[in-house]
Amino acid sequence: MSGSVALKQHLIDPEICIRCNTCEATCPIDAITHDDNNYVVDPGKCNACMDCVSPCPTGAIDNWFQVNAAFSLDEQFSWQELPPRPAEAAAEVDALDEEAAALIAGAHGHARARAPASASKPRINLFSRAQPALAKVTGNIRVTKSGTSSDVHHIILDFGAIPFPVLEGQSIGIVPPGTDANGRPHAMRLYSVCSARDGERPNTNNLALTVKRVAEPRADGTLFHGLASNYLCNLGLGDTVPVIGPFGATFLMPDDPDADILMICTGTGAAPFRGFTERRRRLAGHGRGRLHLFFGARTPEELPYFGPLQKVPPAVLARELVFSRIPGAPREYVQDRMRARAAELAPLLRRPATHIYVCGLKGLEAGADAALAEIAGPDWPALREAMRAEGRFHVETY
Amino acid sequence: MDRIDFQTEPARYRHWRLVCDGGPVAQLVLDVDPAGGLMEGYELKLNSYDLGVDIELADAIQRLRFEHPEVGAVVLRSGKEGVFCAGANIRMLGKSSHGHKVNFCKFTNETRCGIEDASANSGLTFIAAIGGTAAGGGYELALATGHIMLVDDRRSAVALPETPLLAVLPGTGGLTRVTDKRRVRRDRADLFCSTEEGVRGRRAVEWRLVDEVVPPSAWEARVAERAREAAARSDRPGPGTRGVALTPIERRFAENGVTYGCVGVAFDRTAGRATITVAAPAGLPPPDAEAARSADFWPLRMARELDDALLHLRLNEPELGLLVLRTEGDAAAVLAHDAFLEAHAADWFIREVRHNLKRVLKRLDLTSRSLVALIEPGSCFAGTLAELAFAADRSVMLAGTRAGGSNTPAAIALSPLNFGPYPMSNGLTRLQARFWGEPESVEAARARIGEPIEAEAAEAMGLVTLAFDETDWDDEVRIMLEERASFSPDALTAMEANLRFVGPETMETRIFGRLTAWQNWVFQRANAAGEQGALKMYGSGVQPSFDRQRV
Amino acid sequence: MPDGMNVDYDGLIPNNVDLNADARVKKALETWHPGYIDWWKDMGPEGFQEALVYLRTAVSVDPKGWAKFDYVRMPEYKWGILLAPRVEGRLIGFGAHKGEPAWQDIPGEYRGMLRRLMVIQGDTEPASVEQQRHLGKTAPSLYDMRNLFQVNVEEGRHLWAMVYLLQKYMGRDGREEAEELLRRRSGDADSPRMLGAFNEQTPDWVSFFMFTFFTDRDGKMQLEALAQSGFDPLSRTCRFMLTEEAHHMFVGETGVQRIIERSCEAMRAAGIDDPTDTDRVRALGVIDLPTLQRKMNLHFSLTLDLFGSEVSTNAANAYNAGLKGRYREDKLEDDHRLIDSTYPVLRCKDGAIIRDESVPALSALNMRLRDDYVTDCQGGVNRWNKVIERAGIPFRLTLPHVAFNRRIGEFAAIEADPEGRVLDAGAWAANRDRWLPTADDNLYVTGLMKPVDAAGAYASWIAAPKVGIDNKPGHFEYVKLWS
Repeated sequence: MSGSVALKQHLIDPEICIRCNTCEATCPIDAITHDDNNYVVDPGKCNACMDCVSPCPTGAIDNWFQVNAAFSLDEQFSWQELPPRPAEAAAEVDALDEEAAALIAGAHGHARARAPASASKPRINLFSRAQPALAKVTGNIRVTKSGTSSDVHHIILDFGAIPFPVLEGQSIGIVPPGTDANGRPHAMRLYSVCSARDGERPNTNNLALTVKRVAEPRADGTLFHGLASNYLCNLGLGDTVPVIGPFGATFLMPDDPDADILMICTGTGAAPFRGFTERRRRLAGHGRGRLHLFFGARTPEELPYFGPLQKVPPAVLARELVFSRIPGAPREYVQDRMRARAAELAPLLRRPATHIYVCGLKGLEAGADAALAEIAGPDWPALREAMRAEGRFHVETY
Repeated sequence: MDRIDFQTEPARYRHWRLVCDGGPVAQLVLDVDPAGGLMEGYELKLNSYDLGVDIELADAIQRLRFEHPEVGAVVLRSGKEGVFCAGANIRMLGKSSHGHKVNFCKFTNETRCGIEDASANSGLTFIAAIGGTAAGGGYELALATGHIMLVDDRRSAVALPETPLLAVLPGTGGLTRVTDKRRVRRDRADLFCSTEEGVRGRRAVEWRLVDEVVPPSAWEARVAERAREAAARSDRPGPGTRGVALTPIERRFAENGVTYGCVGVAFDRTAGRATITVAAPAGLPPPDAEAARSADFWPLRMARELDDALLHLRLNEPELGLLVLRTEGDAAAVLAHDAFLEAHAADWFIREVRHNLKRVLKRLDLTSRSLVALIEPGSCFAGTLAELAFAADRSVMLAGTRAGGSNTPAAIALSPLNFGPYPMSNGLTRLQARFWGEPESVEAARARIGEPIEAEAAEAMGLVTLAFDETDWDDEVRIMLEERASFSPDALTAMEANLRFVGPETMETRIFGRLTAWQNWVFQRANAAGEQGALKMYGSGVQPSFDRQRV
Repeated sequence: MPDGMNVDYDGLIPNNVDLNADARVKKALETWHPGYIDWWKDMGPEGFQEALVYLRTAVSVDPKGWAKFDYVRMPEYKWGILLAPRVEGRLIGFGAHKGEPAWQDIPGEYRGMLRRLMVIQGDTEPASVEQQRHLGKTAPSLYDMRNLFQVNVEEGRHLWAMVYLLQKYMGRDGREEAEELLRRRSGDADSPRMLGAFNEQTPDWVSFFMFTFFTDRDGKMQLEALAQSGFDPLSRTCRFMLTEEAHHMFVGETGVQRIIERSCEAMRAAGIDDPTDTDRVRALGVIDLPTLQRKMNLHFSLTLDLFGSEVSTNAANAYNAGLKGRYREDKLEDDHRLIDSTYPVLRCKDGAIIRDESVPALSALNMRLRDDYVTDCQGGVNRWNKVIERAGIPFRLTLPHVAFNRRIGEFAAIEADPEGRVLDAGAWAANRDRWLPTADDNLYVTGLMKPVDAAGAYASWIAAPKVGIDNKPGHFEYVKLWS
């Protein structure tokens, strides 16, 4: 997905298109045109702004081919059907932005990720570095107890009149202001959205992030202060933040309200699961599926959203909060608790509507995988790959 | 243009169906053939009408009165889905000459007054069953009926959109009947007449624009029920009674005139006048009312012929501005027929004959031509025919006899029919109108019923304008007619209309005197009839441009 | 920030017209709202008001974020008032006022005309919901059921769109008209919907697909023409409605296409070469192509009647007034006034069909819109034929002549065959069953209408879609019936 110089060309599937003219009417830069046969996209004009994608009634509009040389307008006009799909064309494209694509690939690892079959279709790449969406900070509060070393902030960004559709599990890109030592703009960071698709409150046009202020000791004893996390955690109410994205097309929650979702996380890895939980809470009563959360932290004081989590009804969420640094108590890690709940988890893993998500620091993946292998038995690797192929197994670590 | 013919019969209708099944309820169905316009250049869409459509309507009403005594109620309805009648065809109005428009308008008004006359005097109730939108003249037609039913399907409305849409008036009695007949409050009438799409449903009832609204599912049954009720109230003879066929009028058109059985019309185009001569019946009236039942019964025949002659002159001979009215024959025979009409006034047929005479005389009053009656020896201005003289703007009587002519001097005779049965539009008899302010003169005349009144006495009684003896007659008459012909036709029309209708206003005089006069003014104005006016622009999509000055 | 981008989703009525600042209209709409919900419950999809349906809801007028997909109970659907963003400096594009700034408020002289346009447009929206209310029970799949309901809720929203304009700009009369829109009922003897085709039944799914392809396409053409309006709020409303209307086109076109696919596939599998061998084709439980042709003939001809008289004063008035333009007026190159030009019109003269070249273009606007409509339909029919062609079946669907089976306009008084040859009454009666659905056809199709409500399953007579709604996979449960 990254590193290639090839072009991602936007094409319309003539077999599916009904020639309703919606895309042509929508395109803000007149990149779409038609003749008696087809509606086509001018590769010289299209800037992948995606305005045409959502209004298309058929889905014919949403084809992105990895090509070395663009198909000309005349070629496209002559088609009765799309040419054969290039072999490596991704089933789901996480980002059309190279920088963001590389970051996501890193977080998801090498395995080919698939979105849950019932996930809503995500919108990606609506805003770029060059033309970011300008959001306003309407909330910035610490969600871990003060005095602890883990300084995690809940930051609400409001988009006002700008549409910024996100789904739970998607990320946004933030670029800290200023330039690096070489005078170049800073690199982009991705942050998982921790709110539900319809905002912090239903039908508000905002989203929230869970950001941990990075302050790590260096070898020389001084502290490394993360540039972007400190920029975000220091934002004041009313400040304006340029936002890029949204990104991410696979680490999404199933829309199927009957699906069970197993969520395994540590620290700010909880961010997407807060979104999942909010989403399910708002749909309460719509389905038979339940959420199962295994959430690890050092102490309750350092567990983000510890208080609010207590209030989620058990019918929606089975909650396993696991702590490793309770004075006087044995150290317990997420994988320990999972083993302890093997009797409940084993049948859950076999259910066809179960989806598994792992999100947290790099080390979590291996620990969780080992625990799942123990619970599921020897066919776990095969089961895991099958689930992955069906979009039911997801990992995002950093 | 071809001669416009006012004679037709149901078998030749293109736009109406008159359905009589022998029962007491008739259906009169408007189903206009769009291609059946009287002239080229317009299509009669949506049951819109032109003079041709109205000629058939007038004919149908006459036939209902004479040929169908069994009928007590007439349901007036549309044969087209979703539309009752869209009124006068706008393109026809846009293309027509001013004169044609005025005469068209007058005729349609007379026809609608005729509907009301039938309801008031003949026990024939008309029910407008509006099963689709009735706009403009369509609603005006309904207004002429005694009971207006509107289907309440949430789309059908009644409307008078002339002012907003066409920059003219609902001139076929619309404005007048809304206020005077249906007593719609005048501010509501103002609102109604400036709302293009009109009013429907309950509000139409509340404002008294219609008498009832009926849901479609109950429509047919309710219409039938109302018709049955109305028929039951009728004093007509009812089923089983044989009607009197209105056989085709015998007439011959020639270059210089038209000849009927007892009416003749001679044109003098150079002088711009026509002489209408009405002949007295050849003999005595039939022995009884039953024997009278024929289109040849002289009072009926004479009235139908005179009516046709007047209409022919109005529409087809616009340049003959002066009508000389003459009579010929035995005054005694006329008086005998009058006596017969009086004796059998209660008979349904005789009642119709009398009302028909009344209407024809009204038609004469409303004819915008100078009317001069010449009362000479050998004439028979007696009773009913004396009304011709009283209708005239001037009457001139020859005193004494003429050499070589009849030995009997000219005389006028009065009958009871001169004192009531033939009121004008203003509700007065012609004698009352003549002697407005001197009722004793009317009484003096009444005292002389049946006597021949010769010139000197007639002049003294005020029954004629002037009397001349033989010496002066030819010259005086010639000069009078020539002088008359030299005046401005417009001024004459206006002057005569003003002088003919003295005294009180009635709904009819308001319709003919005010409404149509204003309408005719509007028709003349560029805002309606100019190249950029509303009538010309209608249908082109282009907005008319108005001269904004109030006049 | 472009005006009108901001959608207020907090109140009872989602809107981007700052309803909170307009107490009068807000009150009017809130007064109207319960009646609307009652209407929906009475006349909306029967038997599925409690089902969870995977619906898209328009939540923004910006294409980047305009629709959200989610499970919704239909009575809880967020029907809102959404207008396309205002274009600064927009000018009236045609008619006598061409070049003047577009009206933001209603020009008094055109109030009546505009009200009529709105009422007629508004009346069709709830009408189709009423016509289709029984179809849910025989849906050939959950996918199709969901599409039906999507069409239904969006027709409901389109009603809201027109009601907003009526209440905002038409005063008391507008409020009364808005109430009337809820009182008329499709096919009701006492208060039918205003246009004929909207009082016809939609008895089966083939009719539904044909209706959405042909009759909703008339709606699209009317919206396209109104989207050109010099009255800016109407234009903006219609522009946004068109985005939703595209889905309805999609449902119709792909519905019929999937029927064709299934029929062709079954015929090939059974080795049937003659597509007119109706008995053998029907034995396969699929719909024979000649029946589809007859259904098509019926719906096409019924819909043509909706365009009104070929030569029309009302259309001319509305154009000249700058209220209703031509299809894609802004893309046409002429004087946009049409005072001196003519447009060829097919007319009926002395029983023959002739081409009249002399009709003033202004008066022929209905004809022109109908011509554009026929071209638009032809494109879809060509795509259907491609499916048949690819399957190697010797059969082609064709649109009948515009004079065929007409009740309104020039050809109302004559009968013509699908090729446009004028027929006498005898010839028409003798051949009618070759061209229009017969009782037997309807019986057969009705017999096929058995509900299929397992996720991912489809009735015998229709193929699965190529692409799911919102990219959902084949077995997605578009409607959850259990709740």
